[in-house]
Amino acid sequence: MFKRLLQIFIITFILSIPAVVMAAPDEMSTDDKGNATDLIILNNAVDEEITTFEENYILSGSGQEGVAVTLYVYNSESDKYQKVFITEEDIKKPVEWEIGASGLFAQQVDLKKGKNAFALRAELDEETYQVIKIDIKRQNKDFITKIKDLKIGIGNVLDTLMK
Amino acid sequence: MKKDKVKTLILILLVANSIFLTTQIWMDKKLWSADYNFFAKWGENSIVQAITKKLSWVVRNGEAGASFVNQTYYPQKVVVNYGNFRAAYVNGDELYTQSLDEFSRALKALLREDQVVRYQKIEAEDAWLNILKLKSIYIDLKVPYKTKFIGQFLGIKNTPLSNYIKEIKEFILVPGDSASNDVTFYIKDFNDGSVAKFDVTYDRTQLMNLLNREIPASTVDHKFSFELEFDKKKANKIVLDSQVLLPFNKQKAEVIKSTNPIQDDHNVKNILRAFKYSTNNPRKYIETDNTLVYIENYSTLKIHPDGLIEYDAIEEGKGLRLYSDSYGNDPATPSFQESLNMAVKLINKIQDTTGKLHLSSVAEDPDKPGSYKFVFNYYHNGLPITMNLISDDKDILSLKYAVKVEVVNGTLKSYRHYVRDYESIKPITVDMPVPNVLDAIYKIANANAPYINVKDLHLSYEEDGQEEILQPQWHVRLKGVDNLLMIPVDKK
Amino acid sequence: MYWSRVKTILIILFLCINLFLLVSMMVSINQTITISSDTVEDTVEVLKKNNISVEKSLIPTRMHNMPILQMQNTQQDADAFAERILGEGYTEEKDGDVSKYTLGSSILTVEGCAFSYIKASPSTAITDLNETTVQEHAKKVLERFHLNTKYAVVQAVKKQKDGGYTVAFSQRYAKKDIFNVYITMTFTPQGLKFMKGYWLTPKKFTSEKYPIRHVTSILINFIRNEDRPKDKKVTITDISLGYRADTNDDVVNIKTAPAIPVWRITTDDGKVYYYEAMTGDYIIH
Repeated sequence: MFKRLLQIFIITFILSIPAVVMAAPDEMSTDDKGNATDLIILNNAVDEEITTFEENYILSGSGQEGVAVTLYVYNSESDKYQKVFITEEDIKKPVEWEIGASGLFAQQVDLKKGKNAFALRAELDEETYQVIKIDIKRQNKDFITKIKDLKIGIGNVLDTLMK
Repeated sequence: MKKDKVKTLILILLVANSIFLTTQIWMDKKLWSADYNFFAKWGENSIVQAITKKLSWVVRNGEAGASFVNQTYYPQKVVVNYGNFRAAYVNGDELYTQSLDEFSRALKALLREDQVVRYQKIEAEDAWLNILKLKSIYIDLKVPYKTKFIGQFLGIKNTPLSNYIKEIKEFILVPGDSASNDVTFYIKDFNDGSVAKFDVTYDRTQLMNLLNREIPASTVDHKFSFELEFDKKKANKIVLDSQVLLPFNKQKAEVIKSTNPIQDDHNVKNILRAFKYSTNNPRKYIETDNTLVYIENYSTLKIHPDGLIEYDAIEEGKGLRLYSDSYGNDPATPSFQESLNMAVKLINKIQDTTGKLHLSSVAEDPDKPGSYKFVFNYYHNGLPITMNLISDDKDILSLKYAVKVEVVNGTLKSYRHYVRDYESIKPITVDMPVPNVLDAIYKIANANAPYINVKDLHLSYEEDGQEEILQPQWHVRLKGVDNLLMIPVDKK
Repeated sequence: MYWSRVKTILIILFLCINLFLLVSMMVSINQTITISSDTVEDTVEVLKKNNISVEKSLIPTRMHNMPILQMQNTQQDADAFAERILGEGYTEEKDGDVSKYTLGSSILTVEGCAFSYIKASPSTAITDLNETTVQEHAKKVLERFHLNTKYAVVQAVKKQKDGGYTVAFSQRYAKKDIFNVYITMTFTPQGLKFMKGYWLTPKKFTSEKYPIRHVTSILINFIRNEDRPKDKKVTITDISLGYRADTNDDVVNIKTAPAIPVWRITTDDGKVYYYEAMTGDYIIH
């Protein structure tokens, strides 16, 4: 029994190592601005709020090779930026990537309805990091557009019936 | 009773045997000396010729609408922008056919001979890229075609659009302004890069339905490099051309098997018949590498054991006549479309290539009207197969295409065809995010240049004539580099 | 009952039909064309009027259908061939289809089935070199070089000024000469000095047989032949039907090649003219 527990503990520890390689903290305070500004450049507009009807969005940009980028999203409850996790094959993973030889990155992020306040934390090493904030608002397709779509949908059905 | 049965059997055998012997004598050309053939003599008779002429007209008209469909000039991809989602459909996708049909109908309306062309030149520099952001259907033909030829693809002999633009490679179709029911084409003039706007009166209901439809969940989203600003130099070491199309989801692809279908005498006879060579040709050579060489009818036909077929007419104009009718009068000079159809018909006599072969380029000899050089390549389920055959034999240059046909005034001048059949053996999912592909490109191509310019990037297969199993790879065209760079795919 | 009789009649009828058809087929396949002596005489007359004289007896009157003769190349591996002739240690130069092998003062040039060999200083002395022995000797040399001599015949032996002899070989298969396949070898008392040839070996006949043009029509065509000297009287000394290996510039590395039936016309000035027997076309050298 004890042996079993030990085995499980060791395996879990080994499996968690990759996640530990990135030293990014789970939370970031809202006024954390980082201590570098030249690690990455985000191509998306950062000065104004982006609005879209879509369920996801692509954050793209360029940066130095070896820079590790982690995605955070603002949590109003804790008033902090928290790491975004996604579940893949039953394992919870943070959304993070390392900039490779090309210097380019493009990451698709999921949007929830309404405001999505994202922050990207780019780390070169233990001490140097950069924080970029970007706000994306996911709007519902407005009522009029919905009716328009519905009309076209009905039209399609009628057409098929008529044929 | 028994005797009767035996008699019946003997009678049946004798009747069958006499029919057999009769057909042997009639059909077997070698039993008649070169000067005499029972049917040839009758064929010469003027009454018979008149009758057969009438019959062939009937047959020809029936044939016109028959099953032969030349799909080789269809675009490789139809890119549909639904506003926030961009899908790239390939031949085989249901939505490919629907979107291409809709696009072709609208284009036909624009190209019609009686159409009054409403033209406007667009001066703004970024106009083209901005229009690509709108709900639209975008088509890149990969190779520029004369506007006249594009008209002929759609059955229009001479289009007034030729007066405005001579060569076209890319089109964008967008719904016109909300007031009218028009559609608008934005077309880039291949010669000077200028953008022209053409408004067409056209019932766009179907187009609107298409652009507003619900997108199936499995569709792969694409972005142009300019939308991600990957066409600009910032901190990146790779710059992509503005219109490189990048996929943003996992893609389904397949591992395929390449086989040479020419395996036995039956296939060889089929090929001989396609070139109207006699199947018991006395002039047959076998080379030391087992290539079969036939010489007949002012031409040479070589069939290599690896599946390469080579035909050369000894004298131009004396090669195989590609016209389908043998009794009718030849039109003065076959049109581009007619010549292309002749070439494709010949290819299909050798190998059924429907849906598997695409026209890669057309060259027309400006000094010799009616002379065309058509180059085709294989596709499998929408992915192109790049030919990269390097031969030790200096007589066979490296083959960078699947089929090349040279037609001069309806006669065949030369023909090269590397015959291959491809079949899917295993589905795979390509889950290689674009940045990973770009990283791999940089690592492999790492020159001393400060940065690398990618002109094109797409999934493809490489046929080198050696491997039987082909994996999908990323094929990358870099600026200033002749050979394609090939990156293996990380797959699950 | 009634039916039975009908069947018997029909059986006999169809048996006759079958027999007739079979005979027709056999006749067609083994068709022999015979020319009337009138035609031959007319031909001789027409030729005479055009300054060509020919003995009536030289013109064959019966022609059978002939098959194609398949020839094969027994020295496909040029490197192995070079090793047999020169020995080891040669240097090779390749220029397109032509391979040149050099060892000391010996040079062998090979281009497909054609080859030429020069040995500037032959060193294998032949003790009793004369017209008869040279033939035996030549054959032995050819065998040593693995050049198939099964169907080889000596065409001519010529004595040279330096006491040497030149032997010319050609091939003969099923009583038919194969005209353009040859090897000529020149021997001095010191050994083989020079060898040149275009060598393909007969393999077998095709099963199909092809009809041959009347030789009289060939002779009429001969009148219009541009290569024939028109300014003097010409006498035809020989008319033979044989085979000619179909050579083609496009096919150099031959494994098998066809030899087609040809008519050969030889004139008194030593010139020869070849005509394709199946089509009547003149073959330009």
